[in-house]
Amino acid sequence: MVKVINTLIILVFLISCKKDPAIIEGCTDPYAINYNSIANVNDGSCISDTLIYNPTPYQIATPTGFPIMIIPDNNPMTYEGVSLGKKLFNDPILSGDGTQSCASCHLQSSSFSDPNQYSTGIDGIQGFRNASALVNIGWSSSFNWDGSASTLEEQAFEPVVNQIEMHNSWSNVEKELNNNNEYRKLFQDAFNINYIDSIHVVKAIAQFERTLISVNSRYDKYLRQELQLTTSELNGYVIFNTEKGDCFHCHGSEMFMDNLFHNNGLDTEPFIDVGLSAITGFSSDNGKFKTPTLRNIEYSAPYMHDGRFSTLEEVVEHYNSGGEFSTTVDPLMKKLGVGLQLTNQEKKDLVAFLKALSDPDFISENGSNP
Amino acid sequence: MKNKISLTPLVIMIVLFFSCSNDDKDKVLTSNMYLSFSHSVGGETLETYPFGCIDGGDCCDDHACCMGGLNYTNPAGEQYNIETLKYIISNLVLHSNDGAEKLLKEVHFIDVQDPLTLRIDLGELENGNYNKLTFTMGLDSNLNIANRYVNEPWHSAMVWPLNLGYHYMKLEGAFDTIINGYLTHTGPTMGMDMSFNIESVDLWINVDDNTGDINSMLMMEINNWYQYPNDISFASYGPPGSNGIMGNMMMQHKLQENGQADVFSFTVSIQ
Repeated sequence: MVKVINTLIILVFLISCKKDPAIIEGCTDPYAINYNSIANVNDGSCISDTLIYNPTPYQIATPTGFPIMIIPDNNPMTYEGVSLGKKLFNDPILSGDGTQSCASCHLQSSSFSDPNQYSTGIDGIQGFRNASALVNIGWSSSFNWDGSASTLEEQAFEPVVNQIEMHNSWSNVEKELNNNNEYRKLFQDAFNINYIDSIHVVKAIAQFERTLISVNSRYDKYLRQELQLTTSELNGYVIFNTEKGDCFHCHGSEMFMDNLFHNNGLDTEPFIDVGLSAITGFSSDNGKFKTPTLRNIEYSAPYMHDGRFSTLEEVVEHYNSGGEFSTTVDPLMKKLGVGLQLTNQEKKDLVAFLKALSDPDFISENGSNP
Repeated sequence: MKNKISLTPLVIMIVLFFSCSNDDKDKVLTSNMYLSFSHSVGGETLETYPFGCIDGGDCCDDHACCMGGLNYTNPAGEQYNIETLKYIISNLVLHSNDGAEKLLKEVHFIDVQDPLTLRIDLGELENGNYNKLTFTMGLDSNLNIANRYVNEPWHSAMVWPLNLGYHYMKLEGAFDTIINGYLTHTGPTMGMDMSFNIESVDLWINVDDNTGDINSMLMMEINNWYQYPNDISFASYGPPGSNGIMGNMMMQHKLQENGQADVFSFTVSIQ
């Protein structure tokens, strides 16, 4: 019995005399960017992710007469996001063969539209609609001529993989971007992510597009009492805003668009391009297309969803002559065979006013957009 | 501590006492008020043009769309259809017997193509006796201010040009032939306040703990815009090519008078 007790005492002493584990000081917070996995004592050196990720919020100033721009909760605007979006918008890295960027078909000099009737993709194939201008696009409630996208983020997904546009795959885009150290840093700064994915690519592009704001035309300066419009421009202003020209019903408000879809009497049935009804499935939407803003319309020729008119004079002549009848033609267009009956001078005045909506700053390289 | 322990049986008894009460008998009903909007032409429920066109379905022989696209006749004898009906009501007020007024809604936009605009929740009513609903058709000069409703989704669709506020109503379609449009647009022509007030007939809504929800309905008889006291034909809007009336003060007055006469009516039901 005594032996057993002695053995136990010795064992206890042996164990108690075992060397204490080494004290290793360092950052023990696994969420810190300098986490030390072998440290067992936190020395207070941890650097939190949040201390590094500190983007600068980007505020959209609401122009007079515009609604507050709705920014998605999951894509708040930051200077880092906008700057990254601009870089991506102009970078051919998004296309299948690295030859085309968004800006290839949305030229700033053309109010971010394509001066060609149809855009040509990387494989030399043409589309069948004119590339939309991107002006005050953050106030649109639907996107593309047929309203096929409901957010800018959703819209940006499509051209990259469209076979007649950039003809790429998102997996390839992600691979290219993640192999690029500069982009990895920029996405880290903008979104605090280590792996670049398609969702954050379109978020950045959408942030940039929301900054494409134009409110500094001669018309705006006239409203701010900074200049006087010419007599011809003023005559056009009246024609535009009365039922004589009846432009305001679709292109009213300071946005010069109504966020709606109309059939403006371009074609008879059956339509080659059914527009909105291809999305909604309603034949009552046949031949309807999204109303574009008329801001900077001088820069964004050609006109209509299919770019059929080369000049503003041709556009005015379309409305002046009355257009074509179809089942869904807008009631506002039902002066078929009669038209507006404007004189030549009135047509010139109307065009003069439309050109007063041009904002040269918007299309200049050092314009108001970032 | 001793006092707390001694209270426990009493608390349990109270809980049991209340849990055994008759729920149905003592249940206090809240009374929510709802307002729906309905539209008719000659007493028939409005059917807008183009007809029967959902999911590519075309018209059949007995359908309205085989009537040359014009399914209605106005009091002037003109065949017509209705493609668009959008309008604004404002200052919707519920009046109590004692003269008190409750503003139910400052402004509401109705689009017959948008079901979400055709029924609104006006909130809970306090117990009391109510006898009248009133509203303004359109926006009076206090509300019809340029860009006042710039953040409303209907802002752009209802803007009246030259910074004069908003249309009160857009009633559009074709008449005589399917290619000949009419635009019955009402609003602040030349900056004038052309809105008008509508008052329900006596309603006698008595709200107490047992009343439940109150469903009211505002009905618009569209043909009545064009008769009594003023006969109005679409042809009188002007020659082809000028068939709008936004600058026609006389026509705006006529529509104002007709609208006040018998275009609108109310019904109320209690669940």
